[in-house]
Amino acid sequence: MHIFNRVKLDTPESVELEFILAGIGSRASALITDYLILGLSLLIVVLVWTVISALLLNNLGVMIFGSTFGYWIVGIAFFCMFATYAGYFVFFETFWQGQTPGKRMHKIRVISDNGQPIGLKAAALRALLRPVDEFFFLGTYFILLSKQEKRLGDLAAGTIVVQDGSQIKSPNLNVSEQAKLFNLELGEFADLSRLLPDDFVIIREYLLRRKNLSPKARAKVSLNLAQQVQKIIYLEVLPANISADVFLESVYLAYQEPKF
Amino acid sequence: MRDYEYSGSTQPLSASDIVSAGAKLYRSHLKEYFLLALKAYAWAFVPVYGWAKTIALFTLISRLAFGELVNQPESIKSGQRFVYSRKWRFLLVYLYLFLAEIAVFSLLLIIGYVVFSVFKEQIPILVIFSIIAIIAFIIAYILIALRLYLVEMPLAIEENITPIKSISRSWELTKGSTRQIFLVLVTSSLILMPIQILVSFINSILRVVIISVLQNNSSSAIAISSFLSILVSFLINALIVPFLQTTQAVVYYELRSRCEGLGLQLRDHEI
Repeated sequence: MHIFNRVKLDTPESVELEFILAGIGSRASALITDYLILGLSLLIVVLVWTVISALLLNNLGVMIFGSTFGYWIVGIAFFCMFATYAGYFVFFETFWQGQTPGKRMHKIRVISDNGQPIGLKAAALRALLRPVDEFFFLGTYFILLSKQEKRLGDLAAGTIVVQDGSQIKSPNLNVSEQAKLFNLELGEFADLSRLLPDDFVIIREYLLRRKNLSPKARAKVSLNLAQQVQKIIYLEVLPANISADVFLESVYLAYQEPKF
Repeated sequence: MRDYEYSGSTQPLSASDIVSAGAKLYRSHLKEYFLLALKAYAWAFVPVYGWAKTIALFTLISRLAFGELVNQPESIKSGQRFVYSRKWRFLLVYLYLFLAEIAVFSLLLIIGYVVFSVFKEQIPILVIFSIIAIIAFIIAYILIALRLYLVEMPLAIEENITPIKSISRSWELTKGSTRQIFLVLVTSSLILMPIQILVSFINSILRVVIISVLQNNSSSAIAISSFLSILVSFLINALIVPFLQTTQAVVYYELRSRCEGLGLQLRDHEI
């Protein structure tokens, strides 16, 4: 089975796009990150306003604004806090194309149902329904149980949260000099056309992943793969002078070369 | 038989992705896994023999989930036969860990006793020693627990394995991944929090309703409400445990792929 939920979207140009849904784990982590940042910002707002009001309260404010000045101070403080809380998600999701600092950190993004970036209206709707989703964690259940992982805010605003595609870039593969030399020989005594593209995918996989493998596993896997290749291309014995790793590298190189 | 979707990306799964995958696995087999967990809890009432079955059934959920991950799904029946045949070994794993824990605790107690009797008079030294010792103990305990996170998984999946080997396999696989496992556990408990809050909410409502229906605070009312709250927590635990098990299976799958190249195999030409 696939590890991630996928969703196919039709754009207005009737192009079909496939996205990987963000997943409950990333969304929970992103939310916690955002709340930490938001909590910190609220703390700063309160501190700054306390300092300002302490300065103003030196009778000066009362002289100018009259005796209700104290209420004003508290009122403005609450207003600033509410603006920070409500504005945080709307601001970032609108101007960062569906990302907040937490979402950016966890590489997810809000997009509209037709694959386009979300605008102010959708961001505002999502933010407006956020308290509802957080009431008894309703949103969590909605994300867990709905097919497209939508909380109420997503349903209302017509948005989905997907993994950010930019993270997938094809990594570089380093191949040893020895393999480049052996590659020339290999073509002469082995018929590599018996290998299917799928096999090369696996060999490439191995070459990319080998640095993370434990030494013991690496030796075992490379030998296994080399023996399997050997069987497929009817090689009688594996070349004795090179390691299984180098052998696989040169098979990979041979596949990359143009065959015409 | 391979998961090309995953094989296609060389990027290791993040902790969040592991949790999402665990949730997804559970969601797609909600009823089966929930019933297995219920059955496991029922066996827990039978001492020793039942406990072995409880552990075996919990691990069966991980085994089934792992089967889904490597695209070799197994029927519950055959999986159950497999884990039941190893049930005593599962119990032994926990017995060994329990004994090791007792041994370590006694050793620490002896060290503490010696230190305290040597520095009997110097209170500041004792205070500083205690604080450092407690902090070091908590950190070490968590680190060791993280390394033992996969303790039953090898026994549920791999061939030629003994309880001791299963423990050392967990130690080996989790090497260098404690931070990630810690994040997985934190994230999954975050997701479980709503459910736990819901449970305590239901429990308190039940209590209020029962007491108001019976019109008094008599012992029978208290007995009924505590019986019901035990029942509710059993059901909820049976609902939660499969999620923890499927997440464990994803961690095991991820570590085996990353550290041991699981799935790196060419097609079988003999067949």
